[in-house]
Amino acid sequence: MTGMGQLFVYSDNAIESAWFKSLHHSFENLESRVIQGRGKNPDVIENLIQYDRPDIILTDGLKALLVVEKTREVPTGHNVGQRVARLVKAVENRVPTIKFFPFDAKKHGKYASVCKLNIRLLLAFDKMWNIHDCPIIALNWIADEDGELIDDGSEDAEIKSVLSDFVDSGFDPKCQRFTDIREQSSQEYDNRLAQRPEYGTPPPSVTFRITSSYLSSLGFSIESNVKTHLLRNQESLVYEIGMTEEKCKRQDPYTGTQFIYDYAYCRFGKRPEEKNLNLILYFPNIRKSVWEQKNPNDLNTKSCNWYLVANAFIFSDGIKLIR
Amino acid sequence: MREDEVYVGTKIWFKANGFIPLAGQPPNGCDNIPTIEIKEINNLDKGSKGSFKPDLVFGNHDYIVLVECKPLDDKQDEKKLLEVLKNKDRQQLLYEEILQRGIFDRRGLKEHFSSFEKFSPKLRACLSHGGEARLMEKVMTLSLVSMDGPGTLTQPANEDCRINF
Repeated sequence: MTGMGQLFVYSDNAIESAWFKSLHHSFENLESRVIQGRGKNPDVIENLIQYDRPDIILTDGLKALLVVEKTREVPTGHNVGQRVARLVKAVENRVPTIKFFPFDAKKHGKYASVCKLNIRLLLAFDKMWNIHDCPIIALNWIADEDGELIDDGSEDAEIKSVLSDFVDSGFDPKCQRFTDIREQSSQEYDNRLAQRPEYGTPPPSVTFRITSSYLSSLGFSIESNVKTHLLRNQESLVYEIGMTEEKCKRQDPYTGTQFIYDYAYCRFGKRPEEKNLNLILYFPNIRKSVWEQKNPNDLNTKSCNWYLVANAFIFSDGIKLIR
Repeated sequence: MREDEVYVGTKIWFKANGFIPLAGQPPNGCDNIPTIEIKEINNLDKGSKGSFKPDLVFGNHDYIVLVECKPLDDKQDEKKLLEVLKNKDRQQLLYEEILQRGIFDRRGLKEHFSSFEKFSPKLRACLSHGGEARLMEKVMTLSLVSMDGPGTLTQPANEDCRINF
């Protein structure tokens, strides 16, 4: 680690911080710091928590070296978007990012079964890496043959090995090991796609529409400047979100999932405006006035995450152009 | 100490004293051990209402210890633990939950807890915090000095509820 300044481990809690510090001998004695509320952290941390708070941020004084997210939950079905916004912010800042989670694991309860990874996440990660030229990788928390997560220490072997290579590279984002993992993920995607071909296309809540005919099909008038703006993209991806007015003051998992669809199917450039297709969020059960009251674009609340990537919101009675 | 720091310190203390962490429900975080849920006996099918997820569960050949972590002593946590200690039906649900997840098997404890009859008498409860210990009838206290693990265990008044090292 020659040339590095003092390293700090920022985290929301001591449990994840202790886990991270156990992953490499050079992390053992690093100072742990708690991620404070917005506005109370060094700039390097503030930049990374604008959308949401990642589990671990490793910094070298003024620079973030790595973001790590750890969860026991399999990102399956619609929940694939949970925790994604915080990872997007990391790669937007060109900070190498690792998500450590089970690709397959048993969900307990009355209807216990093994849940499997929604591989659209791997597709989105690959596109994010392309667009931001920054590694973002998925590492599997292995499970036994019954789908129970391994917890004898061997579950950390791969992430330890990856971090060892990253440290040895001098925290180089171009570290060969990240590229190797990317290759593995690509193979993983192909293998799983062969088993579940429906993951090769978006889910039923997403449709691809010709922008002009879609806008004409709506049951309300649209201002000409709004229409002109959206018609710049011939095609639109419409993501239908079935929330009701009573329960629309929420974000998870939708605001994260919008990033999956944006990167996987719409985006070509670093800025949210740089899309081949419009990303339209469609709320068929919500009136525009109710939405604006409950989910304002207020930087002091998480509701501002709704406004991060979409081109427009469509409600039961109107449209709101975002960009 | 914050609750998450008490959680970390408690794990270190119990591991240093020969216990294996079997399960946990960390505050706002993720741990490598699984979370287990003891359902409310009258609410088995209706989500988590009334259920109890112990902050930590430790085991060795002789005991299973349920632990609740808080920055300071908390009588509500004592009450939650007593509800399990006093209720065989809830103990049975806990036992089945541990079996369903194969935890005894994976931790090499299967032969020591091969039936509910062997499990129930070995069940103990502990409050862990960074404050002064309070002598309780059936629940022990782990008073932690820091999150690095140093601490003092205060056994309960009832001898049947103690752990012997």
